[in-house]
Amino acid sequence: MTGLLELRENLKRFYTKNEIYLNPLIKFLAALLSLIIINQAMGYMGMLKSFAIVMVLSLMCSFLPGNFIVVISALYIVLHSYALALECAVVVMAVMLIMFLIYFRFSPKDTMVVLLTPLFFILKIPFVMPVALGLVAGPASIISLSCGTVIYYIIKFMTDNLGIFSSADAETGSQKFRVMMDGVLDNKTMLITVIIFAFTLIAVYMIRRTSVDHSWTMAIFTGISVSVVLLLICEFLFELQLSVVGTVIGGVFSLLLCLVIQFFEFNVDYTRTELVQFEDDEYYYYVKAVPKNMVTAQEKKVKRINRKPRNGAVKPSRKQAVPRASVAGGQNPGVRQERPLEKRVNPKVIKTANGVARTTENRE
Amino acid sequence: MVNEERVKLMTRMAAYEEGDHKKNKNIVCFFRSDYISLQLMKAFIANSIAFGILFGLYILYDFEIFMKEIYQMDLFGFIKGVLIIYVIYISLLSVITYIVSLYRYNVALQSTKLYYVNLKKLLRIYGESEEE
Repeated sequence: MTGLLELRENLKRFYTKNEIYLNPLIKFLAALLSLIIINQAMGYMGMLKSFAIVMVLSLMCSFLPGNFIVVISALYIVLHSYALALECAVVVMAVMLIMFLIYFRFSPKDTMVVLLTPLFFILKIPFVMPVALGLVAGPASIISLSCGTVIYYIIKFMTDNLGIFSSADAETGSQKFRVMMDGVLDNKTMLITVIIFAFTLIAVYMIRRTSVDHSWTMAIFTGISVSVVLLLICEFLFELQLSVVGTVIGGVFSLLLCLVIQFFEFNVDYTRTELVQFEDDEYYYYVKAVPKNMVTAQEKKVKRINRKPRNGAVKPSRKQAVPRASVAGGQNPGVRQERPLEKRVNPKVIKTANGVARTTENRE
Repeated sequence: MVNEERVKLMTRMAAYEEGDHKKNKNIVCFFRSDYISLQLMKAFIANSIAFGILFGLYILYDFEIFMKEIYQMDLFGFIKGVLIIYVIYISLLSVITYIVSLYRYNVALQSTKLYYVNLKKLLRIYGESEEE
């Protein structure tokens, strides 16, 4: 555990020290990863799958504000949908525009959640999002989480119905549009997932806010188990066509990821909890103080043995160290002149006749 | 010698300057009514576009049926119904925008006031230390 804590401190220090280089790198990797995942999941437009385009866009994202990654990803999804069918692109773009115009104008910071939620769905670990948002954000994130979930299910609906959308029959244009709209509005799985995730987020948020010991761990376990169990119950009740094994394995991986988040965000030592009580003129205070797990990261010290002398002068050892000689008088400044040391004699302790100790110090 | 109180104040102020200072400065440079009016105006435009998109999707969903029935339907009644929905929709979202804007303005004003109080305190501490 101490090793892990030390690693955490080292990572934090490393990030703080190299923040200016790491932030663009993180943005670059986030953009690259999201574009690659979108290409893998959709990939209907061949040109967008070009490695050069992906790299150029990721590099652009690394130097632009974080929300640009979301814009580029949204554009990618719309263009891939367009390559599949114009009707799909219209619906996807309309849904995204409505989301951005109505909600994300208020909270632009939440746009990243909209991007991350479908990505975690594609990686089969969707439970990370409601639990992580319950831990580090608040109930307001339900809207962003729901928007992300809706986008994922739109993408999934398109990929599941490739046959309908990829048919070249011009007469089926309005039918395609209607199918797409039905896929968005009458998607039972999507609706149930949105409700379960919202419920999970609120449950996690409420548990982690309590002052009981290990509240974060309890919140994580409760959140993951509640969402997995509820999804499985709904699977049996409504036949949502979910993979039971996949859901459980996704839950386990999500749990591990959430524990990693807890380690970095909320690491406290409950064994040293202090309960203090005090009062002022108006209130009594019952305070529970839980200390954070802190380890001072070891600093590497380079000890130089036999330091290389300058100008050929031999550096005296610490025991033989002499005060620096004056360089005045035209002497060579590179060479140190030795000044004779005063010879010291150890003080003597003399016992006098009346028993009082007396010290003497003789100098030669 | 390091003045502990001064360092605390400066740290707090630096943290604020790094964080919300710029955003809050842009808010409190307006009068409250001006800020809220501007936000309401922006919300009106954005929400109208969103309503247009929603209405477009609604029409496109049953476009063929809509085109067939357009000559038989009560067009004024239809437009009246759409306008009533639009007014309700815009009013609801405007109320939400008003509440959010008011809250944001008050928070920004309080934070900025606190920042300037701290700034004055810091100047006083500097003045005292120079006198000493």
